[in-house]
Amino acid sequence: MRQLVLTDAYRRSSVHSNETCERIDPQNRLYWRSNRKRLDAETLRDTILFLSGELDLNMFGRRWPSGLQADYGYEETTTCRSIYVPAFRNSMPTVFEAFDFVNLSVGTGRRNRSTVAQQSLFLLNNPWITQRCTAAAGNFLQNNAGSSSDIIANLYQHVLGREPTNDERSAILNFVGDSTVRELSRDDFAAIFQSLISSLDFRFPL
Amino acid sequence: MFPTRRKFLEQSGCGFGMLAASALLGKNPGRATASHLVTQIVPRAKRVIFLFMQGGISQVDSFDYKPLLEKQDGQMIGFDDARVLANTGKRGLTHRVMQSPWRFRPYGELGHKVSDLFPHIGQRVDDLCFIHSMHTEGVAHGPATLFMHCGSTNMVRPSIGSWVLYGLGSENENLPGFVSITPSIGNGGARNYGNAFLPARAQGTAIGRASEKSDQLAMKDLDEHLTTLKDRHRRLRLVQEINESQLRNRAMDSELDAAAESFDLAWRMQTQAPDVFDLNRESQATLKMYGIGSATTDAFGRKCLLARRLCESGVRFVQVNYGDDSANPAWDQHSNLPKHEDHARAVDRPVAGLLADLKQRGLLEDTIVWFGSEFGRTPYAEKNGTGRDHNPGGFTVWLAGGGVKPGMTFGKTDDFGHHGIQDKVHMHDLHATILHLLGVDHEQLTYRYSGRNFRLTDVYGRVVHDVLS
Repeated sequence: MRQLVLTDAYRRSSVHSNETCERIDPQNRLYWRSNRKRLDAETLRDTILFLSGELDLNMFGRRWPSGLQADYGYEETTTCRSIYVPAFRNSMPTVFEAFDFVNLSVGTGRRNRSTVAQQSLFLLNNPWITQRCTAAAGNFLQNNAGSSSDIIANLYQHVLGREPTNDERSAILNFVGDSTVRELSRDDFAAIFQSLISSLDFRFPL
Repeated sequence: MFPTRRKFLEQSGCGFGMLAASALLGKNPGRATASHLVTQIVPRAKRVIFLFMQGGISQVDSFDYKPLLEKQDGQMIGFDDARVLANTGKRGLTHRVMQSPWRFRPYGELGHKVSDLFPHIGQRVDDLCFIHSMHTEGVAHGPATLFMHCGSTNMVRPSIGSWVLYGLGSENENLPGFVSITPSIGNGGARNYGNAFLPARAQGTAIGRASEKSDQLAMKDLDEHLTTLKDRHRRLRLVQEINESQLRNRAMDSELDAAAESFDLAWRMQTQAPDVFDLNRESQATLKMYGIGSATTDAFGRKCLLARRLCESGVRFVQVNYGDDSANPAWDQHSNLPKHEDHARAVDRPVAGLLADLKQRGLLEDTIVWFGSEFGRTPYAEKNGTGRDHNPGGFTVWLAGGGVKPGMTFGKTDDFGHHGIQDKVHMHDLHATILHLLGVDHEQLTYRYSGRNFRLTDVYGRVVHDVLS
């Protein structure tokens, strides 16, 4: 494993502009670049909980109420890491349902990898997402001052680990309109958070 | 880039099944060879409405009239009871014959006798095809319910709606293609509308729950009440602008294109789906037809009307559930058989209204309506009490529309109405017949999983050609 991850091929970026390679090996059979990754349901959930400051990093333990008789209709509300979320056959967190978690009643060699509108609807409107984003927005604004551009830059570092591009900055400033980021309603700032979580660079890390 | 994006969406949204569907529907015949699914069957129907009567309607109290029960009412006679047989292996134990508490009357040109449980459905017998000789697997609700939906009593298999959606795709990308309205969480729960090993796009979408009120029928995550449309559009634009900018900095990638584009789809769903779910757009006359506004019929009427609206909008498979989350769901009258009447009152008018409405709109021609339970009930009293036990050996379902022969009865049970004895139709056969009506050969609609091909009908099933028009 160590040998594998230390290879040059493993550490290549998925972003590339090599037209020759693209022409010769468009499917990247020869690993001239990294294959693009996609956050799976668990990673998506954990990362969002981390951003909202709610992720419970405690390990182990039972994560469902004592005396639970059946998993039918069970609603998952924990903030523990996904690996500790109980895997019930008849109920799973909505974020798992939306993002191709496995059907726990069948053996699965390889997960589905779907791209459907319900996922976008989930990211835009699901109460779990909006609550996390509202919490994340509140935390973030408490700890960040400065001009709108400064706050946007910090936000990008916080969520995506990079500076915003000019296009991205102007898209957000356009959304902010005549006011400043600090003057935005909590909901609107949460919406900016949500748009970053919905963005391709978040869901498909480079 | 553009053609690639389109192509990917076609694959991710509709799949090769859509190619099959367009070929089946006579569009784009040049691509017919693209899929092994394409058969020579001419589709007679485009969609299905399955009215699931959870718990087990008694055939001898509804559509399968047996005068012998009146003659021998109260007599102790030996029967091969499915439950006794499964538990003990014993045959011919005596049970008390129990006549139906309801009177039967002939209806329509067909003159078919229907009990007073269903006077409104009775009025429509000339549109219906009764299959009296149904038999199935599973003596308890769990296995029999799963068998009816998925063709297997115990293994996790895709639901018939998922198979249909997988095979034919959807006619409207802005709505889910397979919808189950207020499904029960019991007896298999989500497995009954689950895609199992089929691709995720074949998953059924639950609208509401059996335990919820029917005036709250809505799709999840549409957010039609929380914010204004203007606000939502502003937020959507932000997401799209950021995604467009990120897309420009990436190499060509169809999955990223699709992910970005799915926000457009999501927006169209958000703006269109609430309209489809808004029953207030219907005229008073239509609402009345479904019994909406009357206390006993309002709940199921709304579900039936929603089913019609979904079908009109291109949804492929709509299941309307009449049931609940209890261990003895709805029609499960082990005791107190007269309680059947409460359920009948709740569904009779809405179902008749649905049939009439589909017909007047020309939708019945290419919509299969399937009305039935996971099994029937015994013609004798359970434990010599006041109700009837489960009976998988002989029961009635009826079909209407979509290439089904109207105004006919098919198959027979014995003189007590206990077991199918003539032209028996197994649940696998019913599945095969429904797929056939949709233009799909049940032996060819397969999916490779875990090293072999699977199909809805396993290695069984035969199309019942006699019920096809």
